[in-house]
Amino acid sequence: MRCTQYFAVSATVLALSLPAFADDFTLDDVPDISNREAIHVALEAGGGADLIIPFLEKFAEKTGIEVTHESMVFATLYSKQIVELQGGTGAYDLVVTETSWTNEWEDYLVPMEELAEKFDPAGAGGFREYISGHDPGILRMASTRGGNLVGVPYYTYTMINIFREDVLNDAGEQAAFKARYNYDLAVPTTRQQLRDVAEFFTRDAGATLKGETLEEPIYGISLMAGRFPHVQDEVTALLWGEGGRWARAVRDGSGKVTGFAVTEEDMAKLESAFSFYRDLMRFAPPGTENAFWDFATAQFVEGNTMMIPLMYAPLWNWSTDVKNNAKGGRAAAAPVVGERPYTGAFHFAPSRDSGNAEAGYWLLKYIGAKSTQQEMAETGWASARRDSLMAARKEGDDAAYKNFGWINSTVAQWDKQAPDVDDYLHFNSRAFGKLYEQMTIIAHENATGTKTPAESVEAWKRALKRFQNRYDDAKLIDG
Amino acid sequence: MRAVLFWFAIALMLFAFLFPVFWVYLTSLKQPEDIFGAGLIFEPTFYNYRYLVEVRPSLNELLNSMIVSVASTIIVMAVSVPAAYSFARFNTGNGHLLFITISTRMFPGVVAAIPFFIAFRELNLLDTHFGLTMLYVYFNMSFATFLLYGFFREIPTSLENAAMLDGYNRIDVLRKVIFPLIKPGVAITTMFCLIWSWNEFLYAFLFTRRIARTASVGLSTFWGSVEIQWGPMAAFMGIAILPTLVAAWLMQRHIVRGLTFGAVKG
Amino acid sequence: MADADTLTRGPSGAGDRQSSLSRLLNKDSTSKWLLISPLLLFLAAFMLYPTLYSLYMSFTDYIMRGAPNFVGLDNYRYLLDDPVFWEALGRTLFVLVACIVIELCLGLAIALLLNRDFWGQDLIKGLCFVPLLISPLAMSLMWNYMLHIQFGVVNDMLQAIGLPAVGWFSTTGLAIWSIVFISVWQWLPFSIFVLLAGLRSLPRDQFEAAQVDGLSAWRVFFLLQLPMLAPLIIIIVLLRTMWLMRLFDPLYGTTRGGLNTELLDWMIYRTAFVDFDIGLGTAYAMFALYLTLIGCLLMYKRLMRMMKG
Repeated sequence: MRCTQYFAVSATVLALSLPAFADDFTLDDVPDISNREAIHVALEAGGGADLIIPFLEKFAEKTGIEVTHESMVFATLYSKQIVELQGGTGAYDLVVTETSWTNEWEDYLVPMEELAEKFDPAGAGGFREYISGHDPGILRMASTRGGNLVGVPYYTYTMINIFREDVLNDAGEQAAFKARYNYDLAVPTTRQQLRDVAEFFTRDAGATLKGETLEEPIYGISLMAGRFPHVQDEVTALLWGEGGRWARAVRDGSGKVTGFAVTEEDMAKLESAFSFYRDLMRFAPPGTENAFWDFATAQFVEGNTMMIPLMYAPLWNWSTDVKNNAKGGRAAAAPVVGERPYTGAFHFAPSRDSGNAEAGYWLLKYIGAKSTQQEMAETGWASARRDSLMAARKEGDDAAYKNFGWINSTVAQWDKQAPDVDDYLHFNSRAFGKLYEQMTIIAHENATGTKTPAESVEAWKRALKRFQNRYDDAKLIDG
Repeated sequence: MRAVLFWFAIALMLFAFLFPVFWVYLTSLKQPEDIFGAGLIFEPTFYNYRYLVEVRPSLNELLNSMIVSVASTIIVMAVSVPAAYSFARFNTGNGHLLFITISTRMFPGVVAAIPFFIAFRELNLLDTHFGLTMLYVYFNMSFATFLLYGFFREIPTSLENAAMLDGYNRIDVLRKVIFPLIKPGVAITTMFCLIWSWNEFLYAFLFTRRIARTASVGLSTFWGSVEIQWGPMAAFMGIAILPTLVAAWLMQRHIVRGLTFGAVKG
Repeated sequence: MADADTLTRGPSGAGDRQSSLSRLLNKDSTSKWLLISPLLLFLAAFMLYPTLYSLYMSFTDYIMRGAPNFVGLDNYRYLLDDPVFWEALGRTLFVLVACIVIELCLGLAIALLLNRDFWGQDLIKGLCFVPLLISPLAMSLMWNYMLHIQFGVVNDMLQAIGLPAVGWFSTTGLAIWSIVFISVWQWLPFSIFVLLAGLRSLPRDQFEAAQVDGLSAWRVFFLLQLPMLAPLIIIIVLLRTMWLMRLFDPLYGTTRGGLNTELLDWMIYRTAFVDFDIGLGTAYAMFALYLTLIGCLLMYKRLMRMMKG
């Protein structure tokens, strides 16, 4: 699997890596843990679980506390964990959560600083210092709307634009583009440019690309319009990029979220995002109607599409394989149009009904530590810890390009986006796990033409009203 | 000409039934870069199988599947054989009870899962082999009873009466007269129960975690958030089908003759 | 048939010192209830409990947080007005009818094809059973891959014989047929084997005589054999109706309810395990249950009459 490649690379890189910095936290810094109870960790299935398990084993070996784990497919992660958490079974000492579930799960999770005060000689202050290497935006997302950090992020899925550098840089293509659209071909930074690029590179078999005749048709862009969460992520990125919101968090003087507002302006922007997405569908390959990241990226890697305008950074690694399938093919990454991508992270969080919060805390601190995250990042893993990414990043050779090519654009976007996070519905609503599913259905039905953009906006307003008012004490503010 | 047509139809049918399974095995030999676009030509690898054994708790999951399937099937038989006999021989409940039994499969299992979860939590049955076994008994007993009911119906009551007149008691009649006659029925029912317990996902997923987790849950874990491990998944599918294949092969003879539900009078 | 040997050997020794259990078993009136009691116990625990629980919950607003409040018929009222529910129900019925019709027609055709002696018949019949064995959930993901418009092997084959590639799961209107296809692929063997077993147990001489009398093979089949298979056809319809009303697995790895393929059980799953709207979820479930019960009861009554006759 792709993972083994990571491991192979990781071994060589590790041998060269620098000694840890003084303020780093390593396995040796874990004190004796008085509670000897075994802990059970939920993991997100797939290669990610394979990467993390060795670290769990190292922790168990060092502390003598048994660590068991259980991986679950993303599609069922939410349901299974919430059943156990709501049922109060105490099954998971650490749960794996997505940043957009943070507020919803608040009652079941323990704030990290509370644990630090209890178990860590360094206290809450020491913990704040430890965590400061993370991106502030990501940390805010992993916190409740009241500001309590409930877990340590270990993996980001911030979106980037992945495109064919060789195609965009081709002199012939550039001239043809200029002749047709009256401006220079470049990585799109506006919707209009994205649309033009998508249209420009959608070609029938028999046409040419980079001067060579195409045997198969090609398409401008890969999209993920299937009824998976990803179509929601794409529409959201388009909406945020224009400064729009699904709903806006409303705060009182002390900063407490008192409700959510739906403005005319936001809904107009939402409708325009829906329309734009529909428009883009014309330049995506057949099959897009049911696609998710796997087939969307495969289309790019096989050389059938020239750009994935909104794709999760962790898929960068695979995207670079386009060089094996397209002559002269080379992938490059850039910030997405609007520079406000769909973003977030997975984080491990300590559950309130854990029988051994002490061990859970130290395991979290170990997994989220700079050197641990750096070790993961060196394998190409999309760590959410900024200082680890910066330390791991290298340039030059192929391995560096494959593993770290996504980092610059991702971090640049984090900087731009951090101030916005505070009023995104995603990271402030306690109904978000449910709303997410509704948004997915609506965005998919819009993309496939079951509903018009205007109908989709209406469907969203109804869903928001029903779920937000029912599952959260901060309700919709009519206006 | 007829023979050619016949064999053409047979070949077409086998192709339709078996090609997808063949493709599963083929995929299990592929490396990630051969999944898309490589088709039939690629360099085979056994890495996926090694991955299953060395990296994942696959063997444990297969063992759990085995325990739960076999145990639940045995209990289903112990419950369903006497019940089906009673339904067939005495028309117990005038057909109403039999219908109620059959109707257990009509209730959406997703919804029944919630009360079960609450009860199992109280009884400490979550993530236990016993708990999952009981759920599978509940799943399979309705179909098993209905299927066995058909086999019992085919046995003439006169045979039994004659034996009773000869001084046999009920247990002897069941053991020595009836049972040999419904062996094929037991074989078929066993097979269905085994297959369904083996492949069941939703309850296995909700009611187990680590200790009693079965292969069908394991099969779902190849779908990560940024990659699908097609190769290992196909390899695991290929392995997981083998025990059911063996079961089906052993029962094959009976299936062809036996699935009549006692509904056709020769 | 019966073991003549056993019959002549007479009562066993154990019969003389009859235990009380054994005595109870010998009386028809007690033994019939005794034999069925384990089943009744299971039914009480595993059927009565969740059904009553769900019935109760369907009248509440329980969301797995706080205590359930009684809300009367609110959930049912919501359901009656909910287009998503009715669409899912309509689709489920469509899939149900489509699957059953296809499975019966194809199943009968293949059963007739296999109802003879031919070289390698055991092996060939055995191989027909394979689709029933494979995990339907994992298989749905495999189907999504095999039927993909660009990377799927099925389209590769179509294109190899000069046909255009088809967006099996990515075309609204066609996607639901692909779901039907997956389900039929997996369950067709069941119909085949039931009908084949039925054909095998029919008395052959009668049909041969009819053929000698000048009836064509087709007329023999439609006039004589098919009516005799009627109870089996009802059984297939009955069982498949029960299973198809709860069809879930084929959606898992394919459309996940997208492109207008959301079926009832998927929707109920979503309501219960994503929304955790237990009140509404159980109301959907109870409604679906009543519907299935009525449909199946009609078929069941008919079947029982036929089996008696």
